[in-house]
Amino acid sequence: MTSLSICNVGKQYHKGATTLENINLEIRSGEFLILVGPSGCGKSTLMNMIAGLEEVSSGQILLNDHDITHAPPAARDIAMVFQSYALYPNMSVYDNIAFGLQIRKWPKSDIETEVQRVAKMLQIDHLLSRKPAQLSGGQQQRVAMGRALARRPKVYLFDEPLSNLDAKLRVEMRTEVKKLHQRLGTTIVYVTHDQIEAMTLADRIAVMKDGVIQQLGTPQEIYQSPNNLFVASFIGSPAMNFIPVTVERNDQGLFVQLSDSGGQRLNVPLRADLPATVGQELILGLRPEAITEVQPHRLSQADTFQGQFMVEMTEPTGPDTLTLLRINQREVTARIAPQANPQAGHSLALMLDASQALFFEPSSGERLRASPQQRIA
Amino acid sequence: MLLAHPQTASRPWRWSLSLERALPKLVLAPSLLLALVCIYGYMAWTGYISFTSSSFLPNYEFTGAGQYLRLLENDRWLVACKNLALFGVLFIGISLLLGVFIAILLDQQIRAEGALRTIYLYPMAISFIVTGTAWKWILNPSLGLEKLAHDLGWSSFTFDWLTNPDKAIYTLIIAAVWQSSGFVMAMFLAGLRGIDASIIKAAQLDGASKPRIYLRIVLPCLRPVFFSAIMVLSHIAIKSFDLVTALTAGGPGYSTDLPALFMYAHAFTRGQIGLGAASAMMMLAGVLAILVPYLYSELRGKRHA
Repeated sequence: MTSLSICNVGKQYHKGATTLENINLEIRSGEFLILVGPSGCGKSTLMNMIAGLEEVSSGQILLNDHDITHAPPAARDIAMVFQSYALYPNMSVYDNIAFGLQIRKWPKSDIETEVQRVAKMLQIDHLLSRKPAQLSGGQQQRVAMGRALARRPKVYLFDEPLSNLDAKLRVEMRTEVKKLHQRLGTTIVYVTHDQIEAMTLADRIAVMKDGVIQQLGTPQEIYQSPNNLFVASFIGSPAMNFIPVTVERNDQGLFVQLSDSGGQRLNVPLRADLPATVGQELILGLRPEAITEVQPHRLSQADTFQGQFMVEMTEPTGPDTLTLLRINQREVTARIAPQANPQAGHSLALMLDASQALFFEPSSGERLRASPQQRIA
Repeated sequence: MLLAHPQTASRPWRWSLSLERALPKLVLAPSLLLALVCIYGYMAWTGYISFTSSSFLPNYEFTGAGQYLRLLENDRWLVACKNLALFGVLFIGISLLLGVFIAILLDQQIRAEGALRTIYLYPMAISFIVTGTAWKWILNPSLGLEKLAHDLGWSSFTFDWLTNPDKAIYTLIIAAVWQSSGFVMAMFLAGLRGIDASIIKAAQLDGASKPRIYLRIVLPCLRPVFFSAIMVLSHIAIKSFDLVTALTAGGPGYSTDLPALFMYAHAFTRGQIGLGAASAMMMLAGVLAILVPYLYSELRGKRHA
């Protein structure tokens, strides 16, 4: 049982640049936590600090309640898989896996059994005598994972382990990493800039930007109720659509207006518990899957609207056709069934599911959330 | 007519094409010719001379392996060969050790690395003549280190290797190492920079200490650099002539004689061209003994890759 706590951890470089500020993370035993964010957001720095490869400027890192903040990497019982695999080029696959065990002075026979066990598990037992240079990218990736597994460390760190693989192999290895985690139940911290990897693998995701954790939650939480514009735009592919709107009031309450290509107006009501005022500028966020072909059985649902839209461009992906159109003169992507046959230059009747709409404060980027007092009403 | 027409039309085009093809050969021909005559031609000529009885002037009277037999009985030649062995092994060994060591120290992300690198590399920019002369002054008992120690009050200090026939060869090693270890450092530093930093991180996480990481992982990865460094250094060792001339001139007596100096002395100042030619051929054989296996392994390696 292993839990990892990161308390108020910060990183300042000598020249005064702050890369990380007050990071707090509680990683439960057996949890698969993913740090995701654009490059330069500090996720790799955080991972290196957990591994002991970079000094921690402030705060504490606890492994099973032991303070390891300033312990050398070797004393932490943590294994890491690197983006470049970092296999020892002069050693055979066997020695690559056995190296850590040899240094820990395991008996020879135990090393032999352990390497065989790991190699069987990762299906690299036929490659043990080869050198890393003679292996394909996927095989090297397996060896790197085998090296981490062999030591049976308390925590596994993965630093963008799949980004050097081609697309097909990446999906395969992704499944394999997930299977491995389910089978072994190990604690994993995984860094990636690929939000699809984060969504598919993680128990919980920490979205980072500029050295600050923007949101920590399950993939569903992050996807369905992002904290702010950054998280909303970073997670999801194609990205969420953002449409600037102004709050208005009619006899049913607050609403915002969207207009289709024909100039017809669709009034999207604001939930009564949202702290908005008339005349306030907001940003409406709508996922592409909330704009679809007309499904008559859903039209009767509340907050569902129909409009005519001019199709500007289509990108067929197979299961859906991503369609570019305009709402309030803004470019918007819709996810439409290919059967609806959207064609560039043609007008198309589409359905908006405004119940999925999210509202953001433009200046701070924060999402408008129901305040507790108003929720009662 | 129909067939002839395209032929005439294509003729100028063919001309320019064949000119284009021949141009590299034409441009390279003079230097190839020069190399053939001045390097391989004279090599062959020296080879022939070494089998003649040439003394003051070359003659072409074939005497078989006589000069070689004389050479092998020549005490001075044996001293020169022994010196070369000692000089070569120690010079290459110490230069490598020191160069690798400095390179590893410089690779620890230290401050002012650029300046330090230049300082260590600078001796390479100086010719061996200058190095030899400078070290002659430094090591001269009545001018350099010994005098400095005496002036500072340490009157019992003696450092007379330059004038001691048993120790003089080591002064050559000191000067040559001083000159070349910076170059070795530069080669290894370049090699170290080529190694993925995450390999070292991975080894740290595996629990290996710094010395162990270098010995087990980094240095084995630099095997090609070791080969190149040894190649370059052994060349310098075998052909070293200027350093000896400037520093000891082969002395005291002929205690620091090296084959190149022996060859020069006999061929050009002692009127024994045949003997000099024979010693030159022996040196050529020495160089080939190192070069051929190296080239063989290099070319074979390329075919595999």
